Amino acid sequence: MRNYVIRRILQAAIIVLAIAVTVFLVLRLSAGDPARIRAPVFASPEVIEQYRRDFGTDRPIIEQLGTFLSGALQGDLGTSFRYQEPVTDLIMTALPRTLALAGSALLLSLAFTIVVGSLAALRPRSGWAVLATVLATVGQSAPVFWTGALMVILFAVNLGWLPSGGFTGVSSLVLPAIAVALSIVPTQLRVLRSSMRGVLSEEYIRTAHAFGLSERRITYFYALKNASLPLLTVIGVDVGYLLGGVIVAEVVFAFPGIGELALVALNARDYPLVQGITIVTAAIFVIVNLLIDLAYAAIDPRIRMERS
Amino acid sequence: MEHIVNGRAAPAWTTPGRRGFLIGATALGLSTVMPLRALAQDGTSSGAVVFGNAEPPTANYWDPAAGFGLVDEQVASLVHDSLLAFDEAGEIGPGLATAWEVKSETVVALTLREGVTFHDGSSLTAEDVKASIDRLGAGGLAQAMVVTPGIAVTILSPTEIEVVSPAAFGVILSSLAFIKILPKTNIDNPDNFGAGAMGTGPYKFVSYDGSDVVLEANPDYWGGAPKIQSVTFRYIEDAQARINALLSGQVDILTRVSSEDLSRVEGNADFYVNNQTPPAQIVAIYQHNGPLGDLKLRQAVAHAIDREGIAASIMRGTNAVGFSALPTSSSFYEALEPKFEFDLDKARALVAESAYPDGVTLRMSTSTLVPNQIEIDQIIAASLQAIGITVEVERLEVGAFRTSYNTYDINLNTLAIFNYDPDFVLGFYVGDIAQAVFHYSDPAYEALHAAQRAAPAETRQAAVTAAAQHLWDNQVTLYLSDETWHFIVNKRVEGYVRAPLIGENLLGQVSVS
Repeated sequence: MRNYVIRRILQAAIIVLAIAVTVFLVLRLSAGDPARIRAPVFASPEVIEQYRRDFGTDRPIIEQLGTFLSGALQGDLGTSFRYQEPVTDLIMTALPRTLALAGSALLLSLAFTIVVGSLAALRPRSGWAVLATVLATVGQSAPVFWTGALMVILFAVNLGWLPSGGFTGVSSLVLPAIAVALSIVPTQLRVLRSSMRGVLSEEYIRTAHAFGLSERRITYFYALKNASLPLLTVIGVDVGYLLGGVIVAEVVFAFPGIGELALVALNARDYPLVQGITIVTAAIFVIVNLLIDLAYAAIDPRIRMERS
Repeated sequence: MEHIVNGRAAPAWTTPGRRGFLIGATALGLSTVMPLRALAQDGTSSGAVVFGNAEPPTANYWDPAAGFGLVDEQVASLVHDSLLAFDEAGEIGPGLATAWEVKSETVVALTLREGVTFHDGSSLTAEDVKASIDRLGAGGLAQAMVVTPGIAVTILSPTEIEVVSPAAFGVILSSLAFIKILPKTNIDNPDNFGAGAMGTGPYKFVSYDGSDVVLEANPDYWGGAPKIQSVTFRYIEDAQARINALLSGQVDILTRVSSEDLSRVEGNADFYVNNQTPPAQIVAIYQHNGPLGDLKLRQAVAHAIDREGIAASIMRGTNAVGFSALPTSSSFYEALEPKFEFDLDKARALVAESAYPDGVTLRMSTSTLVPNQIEIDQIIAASLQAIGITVEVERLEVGAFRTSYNTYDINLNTLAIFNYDPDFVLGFYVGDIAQAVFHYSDPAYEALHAAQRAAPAETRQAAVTAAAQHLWDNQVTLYLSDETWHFIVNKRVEGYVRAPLIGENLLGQVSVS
């Protein structure tokens, strides 16, 4: 098991490094000069050249890559062109907000999925099943920017119950978390519902009924545990989506998270900041998936023995 | 050469004489009593106002001379003072200088206000003024374009200085009303600019967290504490999120709004609109190293595009259409002839006279940098097609557009005047800037530009008109329309007033309920 973990960590490091180098090269080969973007249209060539010297973009690409990699390996992701601050500091300011938003959305979606998905599987012809179907359909077809905009107009502008955007506290998380949760609930619902139906038809479930265990205990202790393995896989994918997908929610709600920071950085061709955000989010994604793999082993003893 | 004393005199384009003397004398009396930023009567500030902007500061580096940007200028206009200052009408009055005299076409003498301190408590000295201006004269900084190369300050006494230009510099007063006075210690140690802005202005820099720039009132301001305690400039990238933030009360003032935003608040008594705009225009930048280097072709394009129609439809009548190389809201603007009115027959005739009588293909890039840019570009392409000019339009992401615009024959952009003087925009068509932006070089125009820059008050109008006329006659670029900046203001902000500038230098007079 220990060797398995070490091997996975090394694989993760190689993946993140490959992503970092790829992003570095793609940024520099794509259209857009950070110096030209920083300067107004009427700036003199002299001013633009000075910006290039300040940013280091006048140096050969290989030299820039060497500087970037040697810094990254020491934990230094460089200095932002736009903010003139260490990239690490900028990310550490924005990332917790995005994690709060993504975490809130994930918790919300899981809570909803577990309750509604389980009940829908248990009572396939009940209102719970209808609710699950409707939500899955609506959530799948309505994009985040649309649901978000509607919620802002209703709850913030018209009713004034919640802030329309920004980050002023817990209340700022409510609307964006709901909007994001709505987008990931459909897949979770479908997977859990399908998985629960399969598990509930197993013989050991009938045996549990025969032993006189309560339906609640059977559903939420025995069945859900075994039905959650596919849901874990979906959660792993959702984490990746959340890290990248919340950018839409952050723009709609003017939420100052990592997504909005990435958008500003991309528009400004702030190479160090884009690279830093990419490395951090890639690392988070890889680590979360590693944890999910480990969780598989924790939940399913067959997998634990196999890996040992 | 007219001597202008204590500049709250008549506008530069009026004739001197008894009226000018009386105005000047009145200004002398008033200058030390009523600074243009005369502020809170009881010395206390209260409340907060939040601006919603569509862009963040260009950098977290608060040297106002290092660049031009909306938020940078908003912050600089409140944190710093200039020697002179603009009022709501664009007239120049006292600032850190209480009196001034234009002694010659190259020398302005100024008397510095005493008892002024920077936000860190250090006193403003003549050395700070000298450092702030000399660095622009030395060149290399973005805002060096507002002065003549080599301009420098001579210190005569702790409160008496002379600003000496190596060449005739008739626009000196506008420049002195724009240039921010910084502490010499920060100029000598530029790293300090990364820690925040520091000046003598009515507001102190508090913080910038990537979204919000926060300023707080300077209770010790020489003009009296501003009425509003806290000012925030908030960046909200999405247009819908911005207007929602205004409607829900999260922001109080939206800057430079679109015609769609204006329609959202039409008839809503909770908001009002301020149209005091910096002079700005929407232009279609031509590259003169291609087909649009041909004069007849450029004039043909001018006749082929229905500018009034575009302004009325796409822009919903929010932007004026001018007949000059200057925006209509600019000082010294005059409507010129010919009008280059929309006339397809004239356009076709000019194409026939051009070097491309059988037509030509132009490359155009489009993006979302300019309001309604994609729609306007489609109309331009269709209009030119009607006169035998094929336009290949390529849509680019904003960053790519801003980088590569001068590799395409034609594309839209906006030009704004930061110091309320037409010299600012007329300067785009000379030297390295003209080459870089337009691939344009015209010795005849360079002479006209130099003449208006040097012209004293009594001849300035004629000189500016001559320069603008040359650009207009030659249709050096397509002057599509003004870009009128509209500001939507929550009614809790009382008495919102602006100078015709990018910044908010009169915000100290504004209060919130």
